[in-house]
Amino acid sequence: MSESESEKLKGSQQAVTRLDCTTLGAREIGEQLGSAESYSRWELAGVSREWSGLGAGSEAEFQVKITGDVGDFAFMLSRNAEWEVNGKVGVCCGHSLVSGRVVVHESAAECVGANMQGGFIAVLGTAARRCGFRNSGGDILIRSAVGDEAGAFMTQGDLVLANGAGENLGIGMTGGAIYLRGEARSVAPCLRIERMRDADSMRLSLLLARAGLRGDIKEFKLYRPRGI
Amino acid sequence: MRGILDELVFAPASLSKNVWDFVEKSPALGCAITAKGSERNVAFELPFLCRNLCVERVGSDWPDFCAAIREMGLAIACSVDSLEEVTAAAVPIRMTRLHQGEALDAMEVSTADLIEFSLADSNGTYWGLPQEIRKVERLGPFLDALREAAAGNTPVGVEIPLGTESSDLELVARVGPDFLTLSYDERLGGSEATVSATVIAVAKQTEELGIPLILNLTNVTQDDAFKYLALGVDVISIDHVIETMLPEHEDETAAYVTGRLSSMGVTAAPSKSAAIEAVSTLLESWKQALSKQLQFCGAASLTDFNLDCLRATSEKAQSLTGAKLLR
Repeated sequence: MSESESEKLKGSQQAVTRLDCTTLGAREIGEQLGSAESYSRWELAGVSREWSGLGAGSEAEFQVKITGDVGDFAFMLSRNAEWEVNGKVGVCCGHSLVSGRVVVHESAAECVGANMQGGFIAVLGTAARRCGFRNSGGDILIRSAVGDEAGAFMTQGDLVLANGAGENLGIGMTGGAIYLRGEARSVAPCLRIERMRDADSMRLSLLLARAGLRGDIKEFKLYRPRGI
Repeated sequence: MRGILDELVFAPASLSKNVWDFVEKSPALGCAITAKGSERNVAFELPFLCRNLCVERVGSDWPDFCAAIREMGLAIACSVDSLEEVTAAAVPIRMTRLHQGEALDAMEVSTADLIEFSLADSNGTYWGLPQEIRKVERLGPFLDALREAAAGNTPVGVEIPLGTESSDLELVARVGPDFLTLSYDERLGGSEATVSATVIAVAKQTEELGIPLILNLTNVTQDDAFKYLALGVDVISIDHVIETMLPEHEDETAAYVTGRLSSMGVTAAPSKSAAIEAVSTLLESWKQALSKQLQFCGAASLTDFNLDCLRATSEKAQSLTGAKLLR
């Protein structure tokens, strides 16, 4: 067993640290998480919807489960961490996310995953307009309906939309891929449908699996910008 | 004609003050910017900033240049990558500039002493809120998140163009930046007089709002810079003055003698170029001049160096600045 694997195993055996956030401020929680050990596990309850930037800039490779709704710009610039939100998230969740994973069990407001550079975001509820806006390398999966202009100005990364899309899908997109199940109300002229190759199918299966979803990948259509 | 600034003069210390206090003690020339919700101050030893000079412009003298900037207590705006060759002891207070419309850089954010979020895109083509923010009320949460991403104790400011409507300026100031940077954009047009009148109006407004103001103009004389400080500007970018001390364009291949044949006199490698010496001398002269100006006005520190230290020579200047009329 490698050193990192044994560290991970040690972490998984560690007790979960539970924080009642009703008695703490956003900064105090930031400080606690900032000093968290790698592979440690946390549970946060009573997080205020009013706090902006929860988990912003965190670097440690830890797991955090949050119960309740989370405010705007949560997990901005987060690296390595795994976040699971049993609630809703505010605007620009995962803005400029570098790596790690975010799973949102309810809905996400506008611009989830805006300017993402890496990592993975799964929203198991709905997402408002412009999800994946200017995504430059991350992967995003939305299980339920999304608003207009999903994938707008994407330059890299993958966007999986498992329940249709709104107007102007992929407007201004110059790179990356959109996997769509169901119909889009309208698709930007810069996109074209491509035949899904083996590599694309494997990629899609992997992304669905990462979000804990099952589905027939044949139901999906693949869109890429023209000319790449 | 530079407009209103020409109609302002410095007032000598009042005779009611004990002038010897100011002769014996050097005035405090420093200022500080604090991050919201933090007790950490980013202290400037001088109220000047080197905001637009990059490693490419300075060339091989960059490490010495940074050392000179640090020695004089100025802040510098540059990327963290550009400081790779600079020894830790020579790294000045560093401001990082982030532009709207771009992904944030984790390394830049986590290592900066000050973060300036520009409402201009990186090409300087347009000004406005980032598309993912869209509404001014979301700018506050964004700045809070950015501050949080920088460990919560790094001041985060917003750059706005000169000429911004006072209502817009107030909206931006109210969302809670730790400072504002007011930048001249040549597309503003207008004369020097218009520019100075606009700066004065903004300085007055930001002082009322209690928010530090960094001024970034393309050309400010020493006299004007001191007047702006008295009018409420907190830090002034003086790149244009520093740049006059640097060679026009440095040929990188000529800059280093290493790599030439050994017979070509490797010993000729200067430890510190004449240009950097000139920059140090210039900054020292600005420091001395500011110190003397404060002593002249009877100000013990930059906090005391305010409107009371200025007199208006016209009613127009008086009404615009609020300075007393010279009698």
